[in-house]
Amino acid sequence: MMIDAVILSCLYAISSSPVEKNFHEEVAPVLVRSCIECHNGSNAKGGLSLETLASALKGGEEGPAIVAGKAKESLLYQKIVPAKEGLKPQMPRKKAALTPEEVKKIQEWIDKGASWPKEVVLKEKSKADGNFWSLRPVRKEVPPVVKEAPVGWGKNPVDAFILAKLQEKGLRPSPPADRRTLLRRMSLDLTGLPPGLEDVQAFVEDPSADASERWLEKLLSSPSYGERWARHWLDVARFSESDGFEEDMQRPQAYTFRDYVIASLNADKPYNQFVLEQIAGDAQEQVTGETIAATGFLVAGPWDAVQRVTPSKFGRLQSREEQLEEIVGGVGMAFLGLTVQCARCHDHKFDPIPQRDYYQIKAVFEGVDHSQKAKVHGVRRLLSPAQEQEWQKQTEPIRRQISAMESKDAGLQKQMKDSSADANRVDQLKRERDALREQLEKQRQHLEKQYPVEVGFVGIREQPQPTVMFTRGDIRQPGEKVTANVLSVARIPQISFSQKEDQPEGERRLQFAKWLAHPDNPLTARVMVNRIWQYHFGVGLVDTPSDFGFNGGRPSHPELLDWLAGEFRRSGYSIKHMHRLIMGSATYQQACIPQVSTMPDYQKAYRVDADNRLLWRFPSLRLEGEVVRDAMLLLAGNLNGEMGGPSFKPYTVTQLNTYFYHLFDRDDPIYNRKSIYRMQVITGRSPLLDALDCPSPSVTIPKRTPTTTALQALALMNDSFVVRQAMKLAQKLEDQQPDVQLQVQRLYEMAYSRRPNESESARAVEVARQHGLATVCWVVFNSSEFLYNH
Amino acid sequence: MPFQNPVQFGNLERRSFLGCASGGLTAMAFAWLMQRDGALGAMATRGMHFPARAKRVIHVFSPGGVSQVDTFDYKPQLEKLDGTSLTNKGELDTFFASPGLLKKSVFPFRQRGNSGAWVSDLFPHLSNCVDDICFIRSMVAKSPSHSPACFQMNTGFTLQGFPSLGGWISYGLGSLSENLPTFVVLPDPRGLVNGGTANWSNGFLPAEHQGTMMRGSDENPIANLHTPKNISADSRRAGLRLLANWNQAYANSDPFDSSLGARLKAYELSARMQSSIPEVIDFRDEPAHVRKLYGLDDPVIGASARNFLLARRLSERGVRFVQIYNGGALGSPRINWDGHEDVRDNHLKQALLLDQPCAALLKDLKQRGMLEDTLVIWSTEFGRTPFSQGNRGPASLGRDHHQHAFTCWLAGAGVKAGNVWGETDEVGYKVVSNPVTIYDFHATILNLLGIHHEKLTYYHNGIHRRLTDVHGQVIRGILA
Repeated sequence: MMIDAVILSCLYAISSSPVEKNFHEEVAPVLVRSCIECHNGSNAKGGLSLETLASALKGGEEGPAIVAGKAKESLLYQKIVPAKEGLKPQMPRKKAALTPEEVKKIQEWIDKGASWPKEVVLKEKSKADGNFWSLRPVRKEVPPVVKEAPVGWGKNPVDAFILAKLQEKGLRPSPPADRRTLLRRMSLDLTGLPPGLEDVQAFVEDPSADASERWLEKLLSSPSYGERWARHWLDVARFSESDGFEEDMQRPQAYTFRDYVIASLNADKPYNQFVLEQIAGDAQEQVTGETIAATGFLVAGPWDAVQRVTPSKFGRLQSREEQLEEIVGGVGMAFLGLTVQCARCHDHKFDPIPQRDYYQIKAVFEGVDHSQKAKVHGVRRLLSPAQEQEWQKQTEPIRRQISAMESKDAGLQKQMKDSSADANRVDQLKRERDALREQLEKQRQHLEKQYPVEVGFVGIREQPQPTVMFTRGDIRQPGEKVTANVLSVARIPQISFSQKEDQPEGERRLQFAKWLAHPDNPLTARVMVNRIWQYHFGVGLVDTPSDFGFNGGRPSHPELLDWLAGEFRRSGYSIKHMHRLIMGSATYQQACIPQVSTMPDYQKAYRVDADNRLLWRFPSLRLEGEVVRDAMLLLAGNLNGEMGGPSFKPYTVTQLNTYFYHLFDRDDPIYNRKSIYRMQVITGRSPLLDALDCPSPSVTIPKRTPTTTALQALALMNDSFVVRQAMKLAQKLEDQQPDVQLQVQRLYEMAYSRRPNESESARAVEVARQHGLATVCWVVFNSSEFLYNH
Repeated sequence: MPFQNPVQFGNLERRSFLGCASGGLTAMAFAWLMQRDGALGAMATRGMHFPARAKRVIHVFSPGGVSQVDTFDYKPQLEKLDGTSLTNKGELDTFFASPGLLKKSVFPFRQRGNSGAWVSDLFPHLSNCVDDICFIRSMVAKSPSHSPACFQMNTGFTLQGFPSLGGWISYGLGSLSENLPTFVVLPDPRGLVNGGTANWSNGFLPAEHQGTMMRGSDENPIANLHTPKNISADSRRAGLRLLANWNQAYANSDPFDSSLGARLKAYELSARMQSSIPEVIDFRDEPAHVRKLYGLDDPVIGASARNFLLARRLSERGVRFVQIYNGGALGSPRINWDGHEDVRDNHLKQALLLDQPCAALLKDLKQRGMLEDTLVIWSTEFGRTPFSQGNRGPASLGRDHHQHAFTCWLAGAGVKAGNVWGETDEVGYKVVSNPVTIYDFHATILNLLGIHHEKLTYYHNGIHRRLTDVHGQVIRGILA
């Protein structure tokens, strides 16, 4: 039995003796409140744990904490009594001293024999429980009725929630942004690219009332949408295309997961299906090549290939535990917005996740591995079972040939080794082997050409041994066995597990995925709509998008969050529906930059809400590094729009056990694809993208942190890529138009979606005349107006 | 209008420990700005949480796993037991091969200096510095694998993605220089260590706390420092003028986003770096005796010596944390301390590049009075087994990875000089007194800088993260 301060009162009913009553009502709550944090099984300061009577009697470095019947001789008592009146007692060190009444109760309890039922284990209570806001069912919210709504603020329910909060604080929203700004904003947001000149013109001149809705639709149906928004999800999915750690070997087939995400977003795949496929796409009812590729999510994180093959048993087990923690943590943060992995060594200190839950969820994923051999990744043909069968059948003869040749090759190898003393014989064998290998290679190529099939990096699956808990997360201290299950605080009756230790591993993941995707799961929808909101506005309604636990932020607009989560469900989990809803709102379409007339409102709002959490204006957002790079390529007329397939690799590789990536910058169309197609190698990151805060690919990134540094300035100033694109852009403009003034005007329209004013134009023209248009293009690429969405 | 720096929530979090909180965000942001401008330079010695002994740090890192029993941990008993099997230690856990027979030190040991510390003949120069050094012979690491162990030594965690020691210090204390990065990494001239930049990553801290890699002998010592050759100085100047004009105008148009103003400052700082970095890597003003002390003109050790001298020059000019790599990638040919095949041959080669330049650095700092407030750290990621790797009799010349005992040392600011801390068993296999985890090691380093390791935190993914995770105790016994 586990006990904490909250459930103590229920126990009173079943305990009979007055001493036990004294323990339950007066002693245990004090121990839980004041002592257990530093004296428990996982954290035993001074060697003392006060979890059970046995551990208290055993005591710590100074001796037993309790001598039953003799309070004065018990350390527990001695430590909580001040040496002199007015002095602070030795314990508790970090918390307030016990009141004299409490001390007296403990004294009485010890003197009367320190009765403490054997089955009662005292535990530190997590700060949040099942009643914590994010764990309660999503509430059915109705948009508030707002009075005196400004023009345009009456139609979209999102606006009602936002406006109500603004009005509560006595603030006014901003007027609508002009159409040029709005189209640039929507275009950068949805496609990661600035709008074309003609589009801006057409939108500005579009007289219809639903112009912005129609342009929004146009952007949503652009394939660039999936490429842009896939980047957000790949950040969360800690997608990397190399192993990390010592060797950092490439994962050339990992791109199939990236392509899966892009295609899913473009198709507006329902989010519940998207979740299910990434967790259990290879174990669900209808397996296809696409759903297999989806499970690349599970193995997208780093993997310590070296430690997995060391002869050190300890090293192997430890790295396996860390790998599973990475997977459990990755799943928990991405889909649930909870740090489940914190409960590996002890009950979660903040959220209601007991250590047992961690191991039960670990049991769900225990059958997943990146690989079991060094230098060989777990890849799989992306075929449905029927397709796979067909492929097997068709290729059987040629594969049989290949395998015969392989065993012949091995035989020759052995013969060569055995006859190493006889040089002539070795030579003869070597010739034979080389001829064979040539044939073998031909056959392999033939197989690939004749029966091409896409192969994805999705790891391997293997039915695991029963899962055991580890005391303090230490593999040398195995404890009880557990079986696969979901978070105990958020069970859903319709989702059950067999609770058998040999439950098939795929079935475990499928059940878990169904629980994640279930409409009654309080977290999944909330977490996702909050992410969508964050990518539109820079900050989520909850500003810690992967932490909906006690340590995370609280929602700025809890009703809106729940309304959005409800709407998400009602729409069949359509992500595009959420875009329409959010981007169609007056909240999204309001101005960012102040006008003279709105300055007083802005100043007032800034004093009340400097972070703009209440959205009194559209936020000023620094573009992500990928968007900056892609926009430069687009403007310069160099963007290679090829979609999907293997990533481009702007580096050469040398291998000394470890793989080393030597970056280069080449002017060649294959390197001018969008940044999403750049190989995400952990130790082969781009200094330009790095300087613009693109994170390491191996770590889950719920939110980019834009910074402003001198190294960023140097990269934008001097990186050969930036300088080259500036020159290409200048060349393009000069080719289109001989007049410098018109060149400058066009440059402004392309980069900023507006025309220059007279003085801007005059200055730019002067610099262009004296130093060339490329200098002005370079200035544009370094300018804040280009680098920010507003 | 009150200035607030919304980009750097982290700095505000850090500042809240300085007692500025009562002044509200404005005061904190102001303090942060003032400190960046050097006006709060006094903070350096005041420390964040208590008085600092060290103002700056130089960390010499020797990756690959330096053998404790062949360098700084003298084991006479190992000599006696040479060639026998190690027993009574439980199941022997090795990384690559089955445990071989006990193997005595491949170098003779001697007592050195007034303190009488035992150091092997591998380090003739560093042997002269033992009276300034405090050896910790009881280090234990969490992993016997290079990358996790290197990550742990550099970031406190065995997984990648966590901020490095230098990053935390940059975040905690900020810069001492207006013209140079706060945290500079000098890679081994022979190549980058495994994991590369992950070893000096900012992790989840803002990007400015990432180590800046500097190659002192390169034309481009840091990435993108110089204006490309095909751009004339005139047109660059004109471009920068126009840029400043436009960026200022844009910042004026939106006074509610402070990062726009910060961008203008960043371009100014980058311009200063363009002149200060060439100056710091130009050694022409170093006198002949200094060049000689470091071995700068020696064809074998010259390139390594450059890094050590550069470290002193960077420290002098206010760089808060310099990390020197004495070793590069793992693999063959070995360019680090990973002496699997032949520990004697390997360690001789690596020590050559470390010994004279590192000793020169200590002497040079001391002579300039900088050892008073500069903390010098030497560390490796783990030790090596006191028995040979594999059991092939005399043919087994190497030693395997060993996480259960190794030696690191500290010197300079606030460290008890001429001192030894901790002890291993009779053969150097396990620690028997005062074990020091890497958490403890880090906690002690932060302590010397006036930082309480439990109070330097940054919120990330649900946790107020620390360099020392949930562990770490300051090793009081080595503090002067």
